[in-house]
Amino acid sequence: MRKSIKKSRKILKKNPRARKIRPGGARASDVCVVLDARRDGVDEIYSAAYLMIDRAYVLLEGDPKKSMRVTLRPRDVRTKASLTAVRSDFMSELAAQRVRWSITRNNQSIREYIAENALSLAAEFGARSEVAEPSAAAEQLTPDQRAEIEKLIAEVETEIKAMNEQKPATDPKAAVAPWEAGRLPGGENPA
Amino acid sequence: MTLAGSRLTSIASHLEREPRRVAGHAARRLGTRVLVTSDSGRWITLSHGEYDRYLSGGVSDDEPLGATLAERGLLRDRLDFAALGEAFSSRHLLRWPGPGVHTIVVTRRCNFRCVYCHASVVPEDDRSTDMTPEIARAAVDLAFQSSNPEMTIEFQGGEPLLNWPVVKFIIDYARLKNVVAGKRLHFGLISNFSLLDDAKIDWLVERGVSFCTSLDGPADIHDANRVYLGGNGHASVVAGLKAIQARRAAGAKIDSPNAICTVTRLALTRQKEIIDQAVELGLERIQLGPLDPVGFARRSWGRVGYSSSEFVDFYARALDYLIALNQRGVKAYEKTALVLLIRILRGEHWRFPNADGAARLAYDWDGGVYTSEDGRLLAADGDEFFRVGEAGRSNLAEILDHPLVKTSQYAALPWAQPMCSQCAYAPYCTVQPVFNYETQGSPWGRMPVNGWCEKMMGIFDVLFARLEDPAARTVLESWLEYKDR
Repeated sequence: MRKSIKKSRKILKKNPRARKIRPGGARASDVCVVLDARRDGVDEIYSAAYLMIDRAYVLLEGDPKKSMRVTLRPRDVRTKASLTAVRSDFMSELAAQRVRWSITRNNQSIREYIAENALSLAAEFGARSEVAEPSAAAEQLTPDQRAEIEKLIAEVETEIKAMNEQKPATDPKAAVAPWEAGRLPGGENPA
Repeated sequence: MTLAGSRLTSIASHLEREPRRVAGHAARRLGTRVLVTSDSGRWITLSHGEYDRYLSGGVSDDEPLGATLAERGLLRDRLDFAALGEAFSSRHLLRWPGPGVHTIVVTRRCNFRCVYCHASVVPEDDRSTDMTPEIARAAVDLAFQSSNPEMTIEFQGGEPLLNWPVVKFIIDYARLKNVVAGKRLHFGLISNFSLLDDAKIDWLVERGVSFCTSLDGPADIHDANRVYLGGNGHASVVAGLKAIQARRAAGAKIDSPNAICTVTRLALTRQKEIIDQAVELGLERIQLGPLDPVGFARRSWGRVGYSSSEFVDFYARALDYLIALNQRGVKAYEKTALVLLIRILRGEHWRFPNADGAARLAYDWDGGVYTSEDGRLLAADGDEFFRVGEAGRSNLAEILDHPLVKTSQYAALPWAQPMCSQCAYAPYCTVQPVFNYETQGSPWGRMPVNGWCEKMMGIFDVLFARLEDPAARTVLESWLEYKDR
């Protein structure tokens, strides 16, 4: 511990800007919001912070049972105005999250009941229609159908053999060559 | 009181009292309105005043708004549990009978060099990546293990017609197997049409195969994007489409061909020409697909890419133009819009839902099985993360039990995604685990900075805004008829 304090002092001496680095890595040019996790709600804080990641880098610290600090660093240029906007956006998101989570919690037991009912319906359905056994359909083929399949396979093999024996398609105009490969030094196109 | 905020948008920030009557829902600001969607996907738009009143429990049962909220499952003490259970089950595919779409890559060879192609193609004369009949047979056998009574086999590449014998074999073999299995069996050929001649068309039409191609716009855009090594790409795709349409006009019982427009930067201001060309070719289905910075497209992104908001602006203009054409009597629809409208207006899926592994599987030329075609494309680029089995060695039960299939399902579950769980579009949207993995390093991704999410939210904003306009809504609702065909 003593060693790390000494190290920090050394850094501060060498780089005065480092004085602005706050606990947890926050800088003076970041937005820091300290919230009461019991009053503001952990889910609400997490959700609001998550929605900010398109506008800011977000760091969450603290004890989810007590107090939490949200540090927001704008993704674009950090001006006083952008910091104010990011803080305002975050507080707005947090306010909206209170409504969204309130609705969610009030309806959680109902949603669980609906999901349970749907799952029990699905279990009944699943019992009625198991995935077919491998090759079940093929095993029920008649001898004639099996002979037809063998004939199809023989035909396709003959066709493929003939196709493979054909010479590769000719390319008299060198269309297959990439444009860049066909360019002469100086940018002149041979075509 | 409303606030500016994240892409999720902020909603009323205060509750005057405990919202005892407010059922589980998500809300989103849409201009002067608030979109409120229930867990089951029923929805309503309210004024900000109405939404505040709803949240604070001030809407009574006696007023029309109270009745509407109750009918849409938004009042906690008036819920229809049977309907909610059914909707939950349908939305999460709890009774989905197994993979229904099986994409088979019969070769990685291709005669095109598209600027954005994901497919890591190999030269036309290198037959080392051609699927053999033995592997093709094993792939079909595996697909038939699915208990889904409906099955689609799609051919992808490379250019699948370069391995035409195996395409034919798979179709004939699957039809033969189906004599016993009795599924509703469909085939789709996804091709650049450059090798499509009359004999091939006749053979495919006779077996009811659907045709799908790429048409990126007028010739200058198409040929700049999709470089054909042996000729004129635009001319060959137009000729192919006309030939198929001629067969339909002569009575062939096949679907209207599908031509996907992959939107590159060149197309961003050309929506009218793109749609006019499709309409002139008699295409009912117009599909405007965004380009994603994944696979090979990542390398050419500087030339062909754009921001999500640029795509959404293009999409909005294109949709408005198509709606205007419909109002003048033209019969055509945009496919992404229709897929989403089916979920929004009917709570159903378009043919097959996009659920990696559970609803679809992809088979590479070597028999490798992947959770989706996107997962297979990633493997073609060297990352086998989404490989879940091998045709001939794995059975379907093992594949469905693979940790990656479960991971893909879990990652796609809105309740497992912190931002999706609060998004008003979650009942209709699909998370893309492969896209997330490729762009953000995890199947879950980080939605606040996820390009797919940004595009999808933009498209949903466009659709819901049009649904607020009665004239546009009439057109959009009429498109639902195409699902029933």
